[in-house]
Amino acid sequence: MDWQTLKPVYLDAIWQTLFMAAVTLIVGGALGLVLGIVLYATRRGGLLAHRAVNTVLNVVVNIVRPIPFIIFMTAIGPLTLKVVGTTIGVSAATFPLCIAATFAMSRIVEQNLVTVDPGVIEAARAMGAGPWRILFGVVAREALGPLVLGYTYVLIAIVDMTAIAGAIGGGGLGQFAIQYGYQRFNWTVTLIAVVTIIIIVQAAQFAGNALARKAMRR
Amino acid sequence: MSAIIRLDRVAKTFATRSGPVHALDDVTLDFHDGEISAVIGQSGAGKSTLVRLINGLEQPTSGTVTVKGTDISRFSERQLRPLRGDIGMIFQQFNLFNSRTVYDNVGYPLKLAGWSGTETRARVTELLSFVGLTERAWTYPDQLSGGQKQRVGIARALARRPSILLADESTSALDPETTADVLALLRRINAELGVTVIVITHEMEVVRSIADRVAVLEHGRLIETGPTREIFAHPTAETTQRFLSTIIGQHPDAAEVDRLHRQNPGATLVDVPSVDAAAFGAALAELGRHQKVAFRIVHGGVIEIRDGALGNYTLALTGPPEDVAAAARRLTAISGDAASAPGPQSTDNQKEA
Repeated sequence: MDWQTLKPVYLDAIWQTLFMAAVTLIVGGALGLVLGIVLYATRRGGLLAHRAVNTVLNVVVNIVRPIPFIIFMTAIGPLTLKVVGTTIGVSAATFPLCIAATFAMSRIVEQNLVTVDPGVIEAARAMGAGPWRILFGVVAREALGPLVLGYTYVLIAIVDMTAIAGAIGGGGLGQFAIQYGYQRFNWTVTLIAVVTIIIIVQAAQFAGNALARKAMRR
Repeated sequence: MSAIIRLDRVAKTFATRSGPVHALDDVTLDFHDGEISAVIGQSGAGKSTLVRLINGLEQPTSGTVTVKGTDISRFSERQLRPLRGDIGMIFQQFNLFNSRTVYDNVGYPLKLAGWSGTETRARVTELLSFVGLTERAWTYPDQLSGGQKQRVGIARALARRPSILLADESTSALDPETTADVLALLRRINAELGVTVIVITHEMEVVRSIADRVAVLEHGRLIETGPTREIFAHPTAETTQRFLSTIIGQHPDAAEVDRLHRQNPGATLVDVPSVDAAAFGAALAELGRHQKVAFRIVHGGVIEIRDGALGNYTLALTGPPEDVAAAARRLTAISGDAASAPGPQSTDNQKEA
């Protein structure tokens, strides 16, 4: 296959990867933020301490998170079929991506929020701030820099997962590398796909670092 | 002076892994309106718990906490929130919002209270000028020195014009000079704004410098309380005496008495504790006129407290025994301890010599 034929497929694959990563970052990132905040707030001694909720969420997160993504994606196939209507293609891959990203992100959010100085939270309480205002106005804000770095880390994991999704019918650069590179013994195509992914990851890390620096002012 | 805050038989027990910890045990204590009160104790004495009862950050296990006539000891967080606007609090580690500028730190309590931008701007500007940080409005806390951070903390605590200010070890993280600045600021807040200030500390120097009244805590129990002058003049509890000895050479201890005897052979040592400076001066003048007895001040000093000065002296007297005895009687009679202390504390060294 010559490059003239492959080029549109390649460009399409880049867009598919970027699309899946962006949607997953936004949806999974938002849901992960909410789940992470709930995990943090319901901890023992937390702002909205609630043992039952915390225990259940912890168990759920701990069940989902260790499942390798390639297995997770196939395992929730029936659910994907119900929600998206198919298990093949970019949309079908984005659904499990969002779920996996939500759980991954929630732990990172929780970990970063825990590091916020309890003294600052006490000060806000002493000023008469309610738990929700403290969670979003104080805790999340104080942890913004590390949170941005956490999101960068997860974004890169998402790009990685899109490639895995591509191997089992998800589209994007992963599928491009497998279908046109690996299966046709065309190492050049595989190499192009790899280099492209590296560039995307580098750009994401660079942007994340810059944003985090801005959030932390250093 | 009426009680603005009243703790009545308050106890606080924390459940920990290693069993219950009694942070406070049967504490009954009033804080007076318009005064600066200090609560002193070693770490773990329960003083931080005590101050947190006043704004409901902690709830007593038993007993009641009454603030401005309202019993808040069983209030929920929701009920406490509006009351907290009237009680400012500052902390040892300042607890500023590092993600907000100095201006936004001070403005945060106003934002919580729903003030408009214009009102907030006027109030924050006024507060920053009061604490002398107008220039630093747009910097972030991590660019400030410890003393500046505490001044931001103070401005933030005062934002909603509280009538009570709680200072939890507010100078413990500061060097002596900065400590003096912050204490002077607390005095100004009390004098100019009429704010009732409650200072938690482990340093007697802080008590000496600003407190009208002091309460001494030990192992969760209130062991001594009263006006600073009285506590300084007549500390009854051993812990109080130990705290006082950190800032003044109170009475010479046994080793010092021995040394003084060796240095002043043949002299009679007379202790004159808790004496008013003017009375002591008059007594010395009289001693000088009465030329038979020679005297030297061999130990002691003056401590300044908020409402005056207090002296503790030890004199070495030499002369005819009957004149020395008479002089010793006169001197101990003017001592602030004269009413309570048992007789002259003189040491007749002549027999031993």
